[in-house]
Amino acid sequence: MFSRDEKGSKESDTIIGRSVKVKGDFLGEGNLIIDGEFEGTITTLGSLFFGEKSHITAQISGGNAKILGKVNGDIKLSGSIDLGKNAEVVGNISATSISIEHGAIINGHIIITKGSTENPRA
Amino acid sequence: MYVYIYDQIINSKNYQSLTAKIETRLTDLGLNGKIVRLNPMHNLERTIKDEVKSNCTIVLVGNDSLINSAFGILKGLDVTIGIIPIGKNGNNLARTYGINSEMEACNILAARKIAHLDLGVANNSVFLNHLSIKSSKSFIESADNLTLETNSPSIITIKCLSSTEDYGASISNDSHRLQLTINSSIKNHYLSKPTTSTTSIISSKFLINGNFSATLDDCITLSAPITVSVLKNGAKIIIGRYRL
Repeated sequence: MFSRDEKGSKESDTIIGRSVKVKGDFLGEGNLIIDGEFEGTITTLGSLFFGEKSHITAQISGGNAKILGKVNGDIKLSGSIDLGKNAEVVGNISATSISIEHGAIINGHIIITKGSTENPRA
Repeated sequence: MYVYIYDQIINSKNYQSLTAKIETRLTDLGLNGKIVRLNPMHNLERTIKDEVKSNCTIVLVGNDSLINSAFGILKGLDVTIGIIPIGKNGNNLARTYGINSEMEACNILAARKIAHLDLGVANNSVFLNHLSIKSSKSFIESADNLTLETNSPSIITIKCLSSTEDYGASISNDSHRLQLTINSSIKNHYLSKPTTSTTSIISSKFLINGNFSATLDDCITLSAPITVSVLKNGAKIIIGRYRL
């Protein structure tokens, strides 16, 4: 899921640790790993991993995503989404496939698209 | 033309035999040039301004403190810089460039493998290796409109992601950018030891504010606020084969 050579991108991963609060617009090509707080927008060609302690308020566009924490905002992916047992999503989800672990909470619409190759940055 | 700038510490008798050995080796390699010894009457800035001419090679003979100060003056100039580390301690910068001892440094000068490296600029000072901050509360703004806030004891480190084209390696998208890393310790009520969290962000510029002081290459101290940017290809350095 977090292969460095994914889509030929050489950009490094961005990691936001548990003790850090970030505000703003994240625009990148690499993977994004968040275990802290984020507020703003997230747009990347890479994959997203939101840890158990993450608290995200953002409009999100990306490749694949694995969510274990709380997300407030719409999620639009060109790949798949995995929601862990403690995940809480308030917003609409659009992805090519979805996996929801028992205990995850979703408050919004889920749209499963056909293998879209849509560029999240377009 | 080679100009050798000797740090003040080398004026001590302890280093006489070592400098004689270095000078003999440099003569054997055909690298002899002008020697300028720094002393309270002959300061670094004046010496460099007097000696620098286009296409000359300035060789810094000393430790990290001399090298960092000299790069602050030489930044952006069309001068090739060589390094001869002296002594066993305080030579982390030389080691970063694959130069581990005085005699190895002479051979490296002869091999003349030149790298165009980025320099980090913090306010008006430069750093070659890293900038580090110990802080319990800090605010960071990146050029990409991201604002970061830390509220726990953290060590913030900024490094240049220099290009490596001189080694035939592929050029990363991250060349000419800075990598900011925050290592924080978080108290956990269930564990006696605090856990650590890491944050890593890449950008071309950072503004850091808070109540702290920063150290550049472990030798210069700056107080907040600090603006950190990159000087692209700010230095032409003669480096060793096995640069870190």
